Amino acid sequence: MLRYTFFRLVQAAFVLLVMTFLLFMLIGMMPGDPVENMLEGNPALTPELARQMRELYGVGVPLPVRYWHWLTAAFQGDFGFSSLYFRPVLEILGPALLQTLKLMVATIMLSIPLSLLLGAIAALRPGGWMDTVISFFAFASISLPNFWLSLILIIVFAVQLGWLPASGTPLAETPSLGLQIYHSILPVTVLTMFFVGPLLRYVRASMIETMSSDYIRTARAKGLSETTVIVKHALRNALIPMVTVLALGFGMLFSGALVVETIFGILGMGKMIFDAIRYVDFNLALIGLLLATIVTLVSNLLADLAYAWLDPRITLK
Amino acid sequence: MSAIDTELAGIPSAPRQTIWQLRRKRFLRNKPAVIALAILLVLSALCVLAYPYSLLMELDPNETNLLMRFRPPSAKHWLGTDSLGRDVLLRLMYGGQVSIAVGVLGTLLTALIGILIGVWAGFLGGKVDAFLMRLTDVVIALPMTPVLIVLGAVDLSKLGLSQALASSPGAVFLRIVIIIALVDWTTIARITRAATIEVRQREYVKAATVSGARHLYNVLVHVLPNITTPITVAATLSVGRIILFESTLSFLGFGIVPPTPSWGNMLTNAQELVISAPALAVYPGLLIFLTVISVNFVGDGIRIAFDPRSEK
Repeated sequence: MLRYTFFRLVQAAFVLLVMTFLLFMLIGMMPGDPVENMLEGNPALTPELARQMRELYGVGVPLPVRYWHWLTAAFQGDFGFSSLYFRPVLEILGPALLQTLKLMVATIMLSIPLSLLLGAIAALRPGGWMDTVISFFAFASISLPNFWLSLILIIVFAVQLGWLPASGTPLAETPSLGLQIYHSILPVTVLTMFFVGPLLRYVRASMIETMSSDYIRTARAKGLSETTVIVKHALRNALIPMVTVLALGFGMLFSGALVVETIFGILGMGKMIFDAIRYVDFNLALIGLLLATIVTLVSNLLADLAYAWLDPRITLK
Repeated sequence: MSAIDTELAGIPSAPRQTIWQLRRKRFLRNKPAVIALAILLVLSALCVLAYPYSLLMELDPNETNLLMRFRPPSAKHWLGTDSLGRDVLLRLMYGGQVSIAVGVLGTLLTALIGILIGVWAGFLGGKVDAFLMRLTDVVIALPMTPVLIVLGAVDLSKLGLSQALASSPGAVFLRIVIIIALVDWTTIARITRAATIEVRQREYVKAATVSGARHLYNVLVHVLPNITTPITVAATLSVGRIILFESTLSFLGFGIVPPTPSWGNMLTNAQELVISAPALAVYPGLLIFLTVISVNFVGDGIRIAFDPRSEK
């Protein structure tokens, strides 16, 4: 197990290194150069200053050389300056990551119980009317464009009814927890709607398989109540594959967060990456994408380890 | 003996059916899938009729008329006009052509890449397989939307294309198809690999190998024809996903570029319209939703019809 973990960590580190190179090349191919974009917004920049800035940002130096400079600096903890915010990128990253994590944790906390409940109900009688309704809901969930759902919820609940704010960020300087939750209702609803469909389909399939296994028949034959059989015997075992799905869903959720954060004006990682790419902030875009990749890689690794820990039949080599 | 014979003779033998007749029958028994297919056909017909409709009503999808902004539905503009005075219905029809074309072409390209990688990994096995599957894992681990946005932002003129060519509608369209295929092939690759490994171990492949068949012959004659079913199912399901990717990208401004309409980019500025013209924010998204959910139901129907083990 320890050896396996070590092996996987080394592999993940290697993948990350390759990713830095690929992303650096890709981002280098975005239009314009950072100084050009600064010149547009700032007439005070003299040609002499612009030349110095170009030198600072390494414009004109071949890409592979620039990558090497970036990499060596990155190993020393220097990820460069954001041309959009005029601050070191790491300073911008922290608060943004926190925002996105809040959003994702809230979504996961809602999605897991909801998908367990709906999935288990659907699996009780496959093909029954409850199953049909829930399956339709799952299909709707995976087919809904989340940016459109956001717009519709804003139209209905913010504009027409006036019950909820259309912005995900409270205006107050230090918002209370209640106010933060109040502003998160719509974004979290959209993300949950987006996330619960795939999860619940998994729970349903897994439950149907579990319900036909021998130990469920034994449990029933012992005379246990149907609730005990379902909750204690079936659901617990059906949960194991969920770990992997959740981990894979992490990347998906991160993608969804980009759209939702952009629409609701939440200053999280997704919106940060989006703005960085739109306003060609090379350093910020790069670090944002890398961090997103790290999060997914780590969650995949944790899922594999958790899987082996939960199911003793699985051995990792 | 004779008693048994007469009994057997009394049972009418089942009519001979080809596999396709059987599959069609099973599909047609699946009501949601049939309804979804009908919806898809109607939607496609509507989109194809965009040009005749524009001639009939003497409308132009891209001609702006600032005196005609935000008009309510009328005899000439059935769904009203948008913020630049263009006919909403006609733009929805043209936008649908783009979305459906991206969905279909994107799926074909995705399937091509996925099948190549899957067959290659599954048939050869060993180190090649290990490498290709790690590659697949890495691509799966990528945060999809951010990566698609970066790919969508790449300046094609920095890749050596001329400025005019890089910004032509054709290039923009192809670029979306290509970048979506670049990140979406993993599902089909995994399914193809698993199916290939299963076929590779069959006796007829071994017999062919012993008789001196080359890998290419085996793949073309034995493997590919035997793995079409799982690939067809996976490909149908990816049409919906690709349409969603395209609309999200276009919505964010990194996909189909206006004035060419697409269901995604018709919603780009919808956020500013939620108070003045909420209906404009409803139609395009509703059509995306309707198309994608129909494709998914049809895909599920095909999966059930093609899989002899699934009765429900």
